[in-house]
Amino acid sequence: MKVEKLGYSHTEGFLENTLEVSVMTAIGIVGYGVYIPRYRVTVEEIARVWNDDGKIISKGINVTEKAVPDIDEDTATISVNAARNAIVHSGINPSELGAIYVGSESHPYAVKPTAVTVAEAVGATPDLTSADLEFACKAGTAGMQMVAGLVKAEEIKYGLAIGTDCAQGRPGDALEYTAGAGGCAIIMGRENVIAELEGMYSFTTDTPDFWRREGARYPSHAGRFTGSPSYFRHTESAALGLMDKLGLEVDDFDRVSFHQPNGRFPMSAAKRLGIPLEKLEDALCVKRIGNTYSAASMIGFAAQLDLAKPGERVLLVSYGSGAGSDAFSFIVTDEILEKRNRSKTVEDYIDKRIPLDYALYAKHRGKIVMD
Amino acid sequence: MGVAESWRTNQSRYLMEGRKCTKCKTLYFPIRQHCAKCMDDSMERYIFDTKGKIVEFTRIEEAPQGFELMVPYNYGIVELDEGVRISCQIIDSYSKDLEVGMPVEMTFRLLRKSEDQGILQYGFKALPIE
Repeated sequence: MKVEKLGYSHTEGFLENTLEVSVMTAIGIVGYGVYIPRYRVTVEEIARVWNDDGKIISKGINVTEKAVPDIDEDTATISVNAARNAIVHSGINPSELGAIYVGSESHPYAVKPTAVTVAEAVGATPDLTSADLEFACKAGTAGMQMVAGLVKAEEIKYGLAIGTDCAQGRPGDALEYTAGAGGCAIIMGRENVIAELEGMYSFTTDTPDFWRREGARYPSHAGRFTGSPSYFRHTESAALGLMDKLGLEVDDFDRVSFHQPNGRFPMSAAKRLGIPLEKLEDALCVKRIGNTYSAASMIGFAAQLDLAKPGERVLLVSYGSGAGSDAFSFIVTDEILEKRNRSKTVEDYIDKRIPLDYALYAKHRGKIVMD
Repeated sequence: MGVAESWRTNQSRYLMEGRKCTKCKTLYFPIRQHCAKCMDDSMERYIFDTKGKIVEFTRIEEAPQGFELMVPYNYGIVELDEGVRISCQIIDSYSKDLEVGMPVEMTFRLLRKSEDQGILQYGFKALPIE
């Protein structure tokens, strides 16, 4: 396996613990849509409150500001708005959706699915299956795998996978500088695909780099441990494993999107994999909207699709703490030109921004104790 | 709004589902069982378009219970492209630039949290189109 090229050592059970899904052909993305809230708080404004040097921190994490949800926005509302954009983009009748999965680590309810609210609000009920997924920041791409499987097996005509989060960082914690909000919805099927799914591959281990215990308000993390044994090992292993499986080389990809917990990690992963920065640059939305967790790699992927030309091969690699990465290879088709500009692009949402100071940001995120 | 009432009105709040009289074609929102114009009861499901314009609005500075965190917010009457008028919240909290006649688009938002352990009620609000 090419994963050994980076010097990672694996136990004998490595292959058994790795999810492998057979190479997919003739299915793909029928439409996609994103939603990013309008409000922003800058890294420098957060640093001002905690007596840190905002300029140094902003440069260090390569993030200038992050998206903040409105007081009446949450993972359900963001998912619905992203899903509606995806349906408009795809041109399908929502009643033909046979599955809806919402991946998030900030579902509004502990018990009661977000996915059913989405299904009802897009007019897909009642003839479908749905569920909420959780795998830190890769639950959205786990949904894409499930939908791809159902479409491939011809159990459903179309399926919708959504990655959304309204991320929370403990006030004063390093995560507060990046914990953003946004969602991305991807519809998969067999007809009129804008990007054909060439293959997918996952790399999964039990690696405790970031977690939130039941009932805890804010997540905890293991500091630098979130880097080498976690983000980089899984992201790079999944990317290389996919290439090995499909017989592809790094140079075969025209565009890439990685999970982006900050602006530095995906650039380092690309560099270590030998991917030129210009193939990643368009996906680095984290610099202006922060880490959107379950949505991050998917919004970056959507930004690439917004610009992609027919024939280009796009690599998508998510990362979820705990830990695992899902890698996908898509080949863009001529259909993408036909459907372009049907709904708002990633850039449309990033451009519409209303700045908030820390006090209003704290109010928006429920950080003010009311009683 | 209780759980049962909230569930009964899901379709109206989520999808802007109303009714159309099959006889005289009059549109209604919210849902009603008989046509107020021709008194016919052959009503069919009708999903309203999401675009409209502001007819009137007021700015809420002192909010009722459950809406305190949202102040200041705007509440008003919106005329949908089909000509039907509805009342709803108009999202534009930090700007006072709302004007009568301004085009809006319906978006999906959290309407209210009934209480700490209660259900969350979602539905449409009008967002001015820039």
